[in-house]
Order: sequence, then structure tokens, then C-alpha cells
Amino acid sequence: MELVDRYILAVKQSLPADKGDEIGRELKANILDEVDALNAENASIDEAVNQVLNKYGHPDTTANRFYSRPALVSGIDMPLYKKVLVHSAAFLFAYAVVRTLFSMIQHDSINPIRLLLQPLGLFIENLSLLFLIVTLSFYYIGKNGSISAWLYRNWSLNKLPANPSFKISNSDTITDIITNSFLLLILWTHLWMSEDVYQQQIFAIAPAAEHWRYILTVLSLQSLIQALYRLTQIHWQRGSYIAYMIDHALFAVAAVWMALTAPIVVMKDTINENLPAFVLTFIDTSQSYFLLSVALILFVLLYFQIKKFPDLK
Amino acid sequence: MSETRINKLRLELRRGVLILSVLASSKEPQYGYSLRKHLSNAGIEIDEGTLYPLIRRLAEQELLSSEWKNTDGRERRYYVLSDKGRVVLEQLTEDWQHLNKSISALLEKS
Repeated sequence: MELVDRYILAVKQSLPADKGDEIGRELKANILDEVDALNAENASIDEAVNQVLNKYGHPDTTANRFYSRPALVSGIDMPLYKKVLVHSAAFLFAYAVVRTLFSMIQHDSINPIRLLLQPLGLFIENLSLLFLIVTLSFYYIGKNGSISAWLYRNWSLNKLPANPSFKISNSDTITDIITNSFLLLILWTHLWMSEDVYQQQIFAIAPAAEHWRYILTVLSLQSLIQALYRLTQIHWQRGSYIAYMIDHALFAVAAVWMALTAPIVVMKDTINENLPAFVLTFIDTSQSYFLLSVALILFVLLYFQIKKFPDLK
Repeated sequence: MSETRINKLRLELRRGVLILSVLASSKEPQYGYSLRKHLSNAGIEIDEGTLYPLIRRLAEQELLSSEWKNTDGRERRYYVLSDKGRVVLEQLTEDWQHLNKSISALLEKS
């Protein structure tokens, strides 16, 4: 019978402390009854004990049968859990890229290899923490019931996506977040860059184009907010799609307008003196062409978006 | 279909019915092993690793009440249907009979 006690002890070790004694006591009573029954059928006590315990299996398996711990994430919340993880990871990656760019600009050195490796390192470093936070949040909030059921409590048929094939591209959204964040950083370099490093910058916004700093800030902020909102969505809705088209249209018009009023960006006077004249001419004239190219790309994108729009109805 | 898959389907089919069988067998006080024998005699084989945890869960849900007793020089935990369990058993019995009738009709048609 020593074997039975050892088995019970092993089972108890896999159980919470407050349940172990009670379950162990009951398990022992059941095992002894089973052993007695086999013994009555001519098996020796040792044989009977072996037979019964082998039938129960590994102590952990027995413990799990008597006390099943709640899953960290319930099956019903799993799709939502995956979605939160993927979107948070995407956001984390965007953050890593922006932070790296920020750091590089601050140190006045853009190294392509560092630009590739540093965001990746930063992303992996934060990923485990993200995984832990999301999982624990689901565990603690999910203790009181399904999170999905609570989130979708106000769902109705009219909230079905207009066209389920119109899925929002996460990579496009992430690109928008990175682009807009970077644009905002560039526009407001003098607010976060040290004076010394700022003075060494080659380019500056032309004094006559200073208003573009504010116009582009407003455009970038609205675009950034749209992109962040899209991260929470799976499908395009008419409203979000129209807002996305307006976003592209605004940037396209702004690009044309800037091209017509160029130069928007000028070389700093202190550095101008050291540069050949043809370089300055090239920078002055090429700005318009560059901005017109950007506008053209945005108008082409807009054209295809408008063309697809009727399918969303 | 493989035998393993069929066994899984059998288990799924039996899962709900086992609760009804245990509740129905607990009108009189039963301890773990006696309940298993009782079910076995009625033609319902259930292994101890499934039955004993199931009884505990039903007790936690207050469908069975329990008390420790010393019988034949050994302590055993006896379970018996509680008042709440009695009401649930009546409802489940009614559901089972209705379901049984419907499924029998379906099986006859096919």
C-alpha cells in the first residue's frame, strides 16, 4: 500500500494546495475500493495495486482529471486573441522602425544595415513582453466570461461588411503609420533634435513655405489616426473607405500645390556657400518634379480606389 | 473511418448521457466504486478516471451532496442526489425522453 500513498502524494503535488488533501483523500478511498475488488477476484494485493494505478495513468493526468485548470485563453476568445496579438505586434514593429529612424536622425547617421537590424532587434526584444501582457490580460479579463461575447454584444446583421472580400491590408496600414510618423518627425525636427545636430542639417523648410509645416502636420495626423483606426478593423466599410480616398486626395492636391509653389525645402545658407551652383539649381527644380510624381502616384491610386468603390455597396 | 475516430464519436455521444446516468443512479447514497458497479450492472461501462472526477464536478455544481462515512473499516465519500439535483434530473429525464423519441423516429426513417 506504500505505492498507493506515493501515487497519491505525486497526484497532490500536481494539484493546488487547497484542493490536494481533499482530492487525495477521496482518490485513495476509490483506489483502495478498486484494489479490494480485484483482490476479491484472486489477484494479489501488489498485483491489484499495480493494475489499478497503471489504469489511472500518470499522476499529472489523474490530477488534471480531478482539477482542470482554466485555460489562459478560452477557445471562443482565441480568434480575438490572435487578432490582438498580430495587430499589437504590427504596431510594435512600426514603433521599432520609427524609433530607429528617430534615433538615427538624432545622431545624424543613416546606416542602411543598422536601419534593417535595429528595428528587428527592438521588435524581438519587446515581443515577449507584448505576448505576456496580452495573454495575462485575456486570462484575467476572461475569468469573468468570454471577452468576445462581451465585445460583440451589440453586433447586428447590418454591421456585416458591405463586401467581405474588401479586406483592409495590414501592410498598407503599417506603411501609412510609419510614413506619417516619420513625416511628423521630419516636420518638427527643431522640437526634438539637439541644437548642435539641428544646425548641421543640410535642408530646412523655406521661410515662404512655413505654412506647409502646419498643413502637412494636420494631414499627417488625420492620416495617422485613420491608420490606427484601421488596425482595429478587418474589412473596409463605406465610411472608412471614403475617408481613405479623401486622405489620398488631400495629399495629392497638397503635393500639386507644393510643386507649383516650390521650393518648399531649401539648402541652409551656411552650407550653400560650399556647394556648386548646379547642385542648388538641381535641388530647386527637381523638387517640383518630385512632388508632381508623388501627386501622380496618389492620383493613380485614387483612380483605382474610386473604380473599386461601387463594389463596396 | 478509423476505429480511433469512431471511438471519439462514441465518447462524445456518451458524454451528456453519463451525467444523466450518474444523477439517476444517485437517488440512493453511493460512493465512487459502488456507483461504478451500479452503472456497470446496468450495462453502462465507465472507467474510474472518468467517473470519479465527474461525480466531484456534479457535487461542486451542487447537484449531488456528499458526506464522509466509515463503512467496513474504511472511510468513503458518499454522494446522493441533492434537491437541486432532483429538479435537474427531472428536467434532463424529460429532455432525454423527448430526444430519444425524436432520434428513434429519425433513425427509423433512415
